[in-house]
Amino acid sequence: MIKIRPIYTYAVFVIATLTLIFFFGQKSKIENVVTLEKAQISKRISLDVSSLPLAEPLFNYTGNQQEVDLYVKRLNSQLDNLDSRTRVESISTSKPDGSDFVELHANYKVVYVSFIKNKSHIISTYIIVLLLALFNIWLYGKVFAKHVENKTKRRVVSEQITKPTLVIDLYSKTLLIDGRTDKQSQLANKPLCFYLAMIEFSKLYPETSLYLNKDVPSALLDIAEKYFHRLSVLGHTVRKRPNFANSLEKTLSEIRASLDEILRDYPELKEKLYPPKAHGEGSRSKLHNYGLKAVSENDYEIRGK
Amino acid sequence: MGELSINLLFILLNKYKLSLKTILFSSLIVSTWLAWIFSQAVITDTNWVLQPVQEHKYICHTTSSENKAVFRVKVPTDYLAKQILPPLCENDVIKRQYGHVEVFWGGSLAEQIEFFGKGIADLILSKDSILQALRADATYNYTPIIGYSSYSAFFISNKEKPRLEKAYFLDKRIGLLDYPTSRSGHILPKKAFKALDLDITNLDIVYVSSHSALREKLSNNEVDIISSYWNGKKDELMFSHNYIIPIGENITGSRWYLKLSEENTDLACAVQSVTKKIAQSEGTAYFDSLQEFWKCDSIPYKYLGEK
Repeated sequence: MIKIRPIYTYAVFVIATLTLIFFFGQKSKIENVVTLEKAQISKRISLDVSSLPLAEPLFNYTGNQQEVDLYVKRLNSQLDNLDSRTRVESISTSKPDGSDFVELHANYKVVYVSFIKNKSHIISTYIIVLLLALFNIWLYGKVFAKHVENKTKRRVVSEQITKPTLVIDLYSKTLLIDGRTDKQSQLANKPLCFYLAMIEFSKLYPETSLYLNKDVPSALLDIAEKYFHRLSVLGHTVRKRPNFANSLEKTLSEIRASLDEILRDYPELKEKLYPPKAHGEGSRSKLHNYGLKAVSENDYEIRGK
Repeated sequence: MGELSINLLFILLNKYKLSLKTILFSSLIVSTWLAWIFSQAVITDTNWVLQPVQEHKYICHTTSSENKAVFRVKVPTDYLAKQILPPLCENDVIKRQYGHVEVFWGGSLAEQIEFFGKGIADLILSKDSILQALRADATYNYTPIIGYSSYSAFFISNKEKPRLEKAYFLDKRIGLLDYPTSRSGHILPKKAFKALDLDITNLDIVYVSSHSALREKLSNNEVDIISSYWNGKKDELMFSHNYIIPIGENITGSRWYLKLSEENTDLACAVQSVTKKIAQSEGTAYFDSLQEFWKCDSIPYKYLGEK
């Protein structure tokens, strides 16, 4: 289907509306003018009818058609000079054929005056309609453009305000980026609790580093225990209480695998929320700090805490 | 400019919390209103009043502009009015006695009676019968100045000599004049019908407004018989002199009457010279031989009276 641009629809609508209004306005005005002119002409004829040699059947008067014609001619030339839209076609005491005539009731006779009317519109004045329509279309164009501009501006602003946030949902045990439900990653109980504990620990003890070759601090373990308890409260199936201090490497790699998937498009967030890997020369050593650093409240959101 | 105005518009929009739709809508409303106003304005209003189309009165001023006296003339036709106006104003006697001349024209009998019977007209072309009916000679001392010669009235036919018999007229279309003061075209034929004991309402009568229209109808075979005078010069060409029958003789022609309150013989002779020229210049109808009522070629001027 061809999509019609709204401005064309609007243009057609505006032109049609204005033309119709202008047409009917001019038509009604012309009708008024013609009616008024007919009244004026009838008045003149009424005053002159006594001296016009019109046929008068009651008195056997045949009248003088030539003189009446001359009168009509003179009257019309006067009307021409006045730019009248109405002309007199004939004046007679017998009913004319057409429907457009005026009856003047005089003593002993009825005078019928028939008219020729020029009801044509002044075509050149329709330029006014065109100008008005063009103005409206131009305005529409301008307003529409501004509207689109404003819309994009607003979208940019809204995007800036809503920074990506990592959501950790305790109800469904999933990780995702706020507003992007298409990418989710589920975590098992143990890595989930441990990751949450890591985030909280880094906030509580930002100075304390975590090393693989050292025992996991008991504060961290306590927090993990707490979250585990919370999970069981939320109704998740819990087989047995895991030992958080065991197989630390495996837990961390499970967390990393999950985060890798989620945070791929958000490097800024990844820097803060991804447990650092060992790298460089001492990559094999267990001396590197796997604790999170510079995590801010705005970077994550825990649902169901 | 456009950019500035549109920005200004948006400032206003923000200020008054108007939406874009509102401004578009208001613009449309204003435009429709303007379209209506302009549609009315482009057609000019009728603000004229028609002037009288036909002047039934002509005026000319003589050289004595201080003189307020008016010389009024009443004639039946526009043509005659235009013809008589300049020579009257140029006439020395009229110049001396009057400030301006007004000539009225119109075929209405009622008007003629007003002008004649009330002494409005100083000079009028009328008929003896009307003068007699109004006694205008006695009331305002209207005096004949010049008279068109007496004439006879005839029934004129195109195909045969009409017979003055009752049966002859029964199946004929008869053309008569529609004004009742005409003797040859109205009074005398009707008198003839009456004499033949014919009921006028049973006759097929066509009324027309002039002698020339009667002749036209006859030559076009729209009527079989007309009643009129015989104009030797012109009618010989169209109709046969053998196909006419007289119904009245010695009918007094139209006359110019002057309202002569004093022994203003100079004026009488001046008017006679003017009207004589006009009557002679016409030469169309039965106005060929004229009857002069005043002796103006030698002093003292005097009224001759009816012959």
